[in-house]
Amino acid sequence: MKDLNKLTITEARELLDKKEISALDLTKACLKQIEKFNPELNACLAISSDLALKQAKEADKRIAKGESTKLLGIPYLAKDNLLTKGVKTTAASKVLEDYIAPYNATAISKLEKQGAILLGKTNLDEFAHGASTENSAYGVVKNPWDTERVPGGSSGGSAVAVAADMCIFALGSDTGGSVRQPASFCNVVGLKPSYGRVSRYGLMSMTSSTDVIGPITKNVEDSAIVLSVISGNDKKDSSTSEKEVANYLKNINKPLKGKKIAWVKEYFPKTLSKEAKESILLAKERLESLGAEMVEISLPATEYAISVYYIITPAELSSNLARFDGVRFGFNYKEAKNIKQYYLESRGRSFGPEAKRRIMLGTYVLSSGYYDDYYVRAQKFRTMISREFEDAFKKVDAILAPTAPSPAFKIGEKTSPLDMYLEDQFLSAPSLAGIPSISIPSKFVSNLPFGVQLMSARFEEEKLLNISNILFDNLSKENKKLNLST
Amino acid sequence: MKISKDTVEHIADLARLKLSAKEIEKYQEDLSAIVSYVDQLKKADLHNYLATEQISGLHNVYREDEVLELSEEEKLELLKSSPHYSEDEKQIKVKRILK
Repeated sequence: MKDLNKLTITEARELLDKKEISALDLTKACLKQIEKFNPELNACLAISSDLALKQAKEADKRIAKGESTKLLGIPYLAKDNLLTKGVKTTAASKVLEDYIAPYNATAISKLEKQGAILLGKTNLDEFAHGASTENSAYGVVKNPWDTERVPGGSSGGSAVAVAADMCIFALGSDTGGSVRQPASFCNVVGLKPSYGRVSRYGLMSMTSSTDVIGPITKNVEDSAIVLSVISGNDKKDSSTSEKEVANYLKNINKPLKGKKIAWVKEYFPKTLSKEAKESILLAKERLESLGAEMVEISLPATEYAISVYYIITPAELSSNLARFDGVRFGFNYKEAKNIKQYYLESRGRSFGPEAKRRIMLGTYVLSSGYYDDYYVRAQKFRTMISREFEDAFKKVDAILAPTAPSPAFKIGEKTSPLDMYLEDQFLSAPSLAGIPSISIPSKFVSNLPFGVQLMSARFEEEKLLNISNILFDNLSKENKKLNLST
Repeated sequence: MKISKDTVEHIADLARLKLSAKEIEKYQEDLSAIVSYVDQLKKADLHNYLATEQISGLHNVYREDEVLELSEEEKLELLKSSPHYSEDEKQIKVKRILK
C-alpha cells in the first residue's frame, strides 16, 4: 500500500469503510508529512494537531458504528482566510496576527458535519491579494517542484499542501484565479465553482461579487466529491443559489462523444511560449481523440478582462477592508491621540504593501470625479464579457484555455505590480462572469507543471467535471510524480 | 496618465492609511502605471451595455426577520474579538468621536 497521506479521497474512503486503515492513522500520516516538509515549504500557518487527533478518534467511532459519509475521516487543510472556530485565522496578515474566529465558515461547518478532519490552515497572499503567495506577512511559500520558484497564489499554501501530500484535499478561495493558477503551478486540480454555488459566509470578503470557495485536489473525481459537500443554498449568504446540488459523480465518466468544445483564438496571444502552446494543443488533440468536436470561436472582450478586473476588485476590496479599523479586530496603535490618528496609524502600520496598493487603487477609482469613468465603465465591460460567454455557451459545452501564461516563475522575479496582475489574463474573465472553471495538469513546460483550463456555463459543474475528468485521466499518462526528498 | 503626489496623499487620507514619504512616491508610480493600463477601457463604444449590478441571477432575496439568540459564551467570544474589550464593563471601549 502507498503511504496513507498520498491517498486520494476515493482511495481513502474505500480503505476506511473496509476498516483496513483508521482515520487516526491517516491523520497521523498527514501530520507527519506536514512536520517533515512544512519548515521548508511554509505551506501551513497553523497546525491544529490536537483538534485533528480528537476529530480523527471521533470519526473512527462513527465508522466503527457502520456510518459512512463522503468525507468521514478524511483530513484536509483550509486556506487561512476561512474562519475556523477555535483555530487562528490570520489571512496571512499582520492585521489579524492573533485573531481567533468565534464561528465557522459555512463550508467548514459542512465539512465538520460530514466528519472531515481539519489539520490546520494554509498560507496565502495577505487577504488573498496576489498570484504568487509572496505577499504573505508570514513568509513566501515554496513550490515543491522547484523551491526557488513560487507556488502561484493566492491559494499557494493549499496547492502546495495537496501537491506535497500534506493532506488528502484542501480548500482555497478564487476571486480572479486564486485556486486555478496555483493548481497549475503545483500540478494539482483546482476548481472555481459558479458564483453563488458555495456559501461565502465566513470567507473573509475580498471582491464580494466574484469570491468563491473551491476545492484543490489530487484528481477531478475528488474535486466533484468536495464540491458536492460544500455547495448549496445558505440563508447566511443571500447570493447563494437555490438550485439543487447535482450528483457530480453520476456522469463523471460519460464518454465525450458529441461534446462541443471551444478553442478561442484570443487565448493564444503572441506572448504565450511555444512550449506552453504545445501543452494546450496536446489537450486539444486529446479532446478530439476522445470524441469531442473542437469549434473555433472568438471572445474579443478578453483583452479588456484584466483592466475590468483590476478596477472592480480594488473597488470592492477597499470597501471590504474598511472593517479593519483596529476597533473591532486586530492590530491597533494604542498611542494615538485621536480617533483619526488611530485609524491612520493602525491601518498604515499593519497592512502589507500589496493590500495598501489595492486599497489605494480602489479608493481612487471610487472617489468623486472618477467613479463614472472607471467603476461604472468597468461594470459595462463586465456585461460585455458575460454576454460573450453566454453566447458562446449556446453553441458549445465547454471552452478550453491556458490557466496561466507560463509555468511557475522564480521567487522575486516579478517586480512590477502590473506584470503580476497579467498572471490572471485567462482567469479573471470567468470570475467576472461568475461561470465555473477548472485547472487540470497538462504536459510539463520547461520541466515544470503546467495546467489547462476548462470553463462551462453557469451552474454546469456536472458537465465541466465530466469533461475535465475524462481529459485528466487521458493526460495523466504525460504527467510526472513529485519526489520530495528529506 | 500620471497621478499627482497631492492626489495620492488625498487618496491615502480617504483610505485612512498613514503612508511614509517613500510609500507615497512608490504608490504614485505604481498607481500611475496601473491607471495608464486600465485607460484602454476609455476607447470602446459601450452604448449597448448596461453596467453589471449582479451576476448571481437573483433578485430581491427575502427572508424572515428572525432574532437568533446567541449564548452568553458566544456573545462574549464576539466581544472579545475586539482589542478594546473591557472585562469589567463587558463592553468595547472606543476613542471619543464627538467633542
